[in-house]
Amino acid sequence: MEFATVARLTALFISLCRCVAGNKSGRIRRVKHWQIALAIFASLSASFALADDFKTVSGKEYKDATVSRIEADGIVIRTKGGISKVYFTELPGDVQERFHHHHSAQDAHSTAHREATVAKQHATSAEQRLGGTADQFAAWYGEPNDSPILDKNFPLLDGAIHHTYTYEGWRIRAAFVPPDGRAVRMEYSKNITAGVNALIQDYELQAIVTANTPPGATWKETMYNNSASPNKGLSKIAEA
Amino acid sequence: MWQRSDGAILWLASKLTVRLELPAAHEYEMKLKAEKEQKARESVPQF
Repeated sequence: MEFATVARLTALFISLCRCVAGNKSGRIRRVKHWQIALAIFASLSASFALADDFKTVSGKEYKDATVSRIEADGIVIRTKGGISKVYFTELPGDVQERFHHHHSAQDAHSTAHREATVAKQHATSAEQRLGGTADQFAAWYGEPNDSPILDKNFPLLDGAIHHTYTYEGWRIRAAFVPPDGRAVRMEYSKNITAGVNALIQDYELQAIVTANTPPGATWKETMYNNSASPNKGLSKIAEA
Repeated sequence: MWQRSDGAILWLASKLTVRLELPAAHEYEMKLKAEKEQKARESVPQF
């Protein structure tokens, strides 16, 4: 529902209230008017949260999604598949405008402050890919598309809870362990389709490193066949 | 293979797959292995 429509309906509600205020015919009648006005307003408020379809710039679709919350850097939507967070950067311009408008109307903070918050949240989210919870993964990559057979036959980590996410042409697997349910092991690979080079390129590796570098952390290349490597035997030879 | 300053590691498991892990993954594996061995020792029959 458009914001202007809501404004018009709110005006209707106010006018009904004024009508009630001007009515001198008695208490019972006034209560009835208030009830009617309140019922209309409540139904309109409910319809504001009606389901809608969203499509990200990358083509991912969220059907019959209800916006449950607007945050500084995106919207939290509820679908049949669960709850997901979609960042404004993933949404088309017109949809961004729509929710930024609502957000700015609700939030008294300045634009500069909001941008600083968004930047901080992006930095925070970047540091939590490895070590993030299943809820955070769902917010970053959407609902998991699990492969129980794969997880059973080729677990990332024995005894862990596994989830597989499909994101931007990549398959991302993560193993979550108790007690806090954080991802302690992850695997990135490309979905192999026609015209896609399945080999991981330097710039793709760099993007994975960047997404897993908290502020202040550094990476250094270590020797092949490092004792800390979980690979065993011949698998070590293939390491790079 | 790369090592992060907090001990996390990243490596190309093959040319098609990148893996990352926190030190907690190895600790969890060791804990699970120890528990499994303990259970096996306790369940040895009296011959």
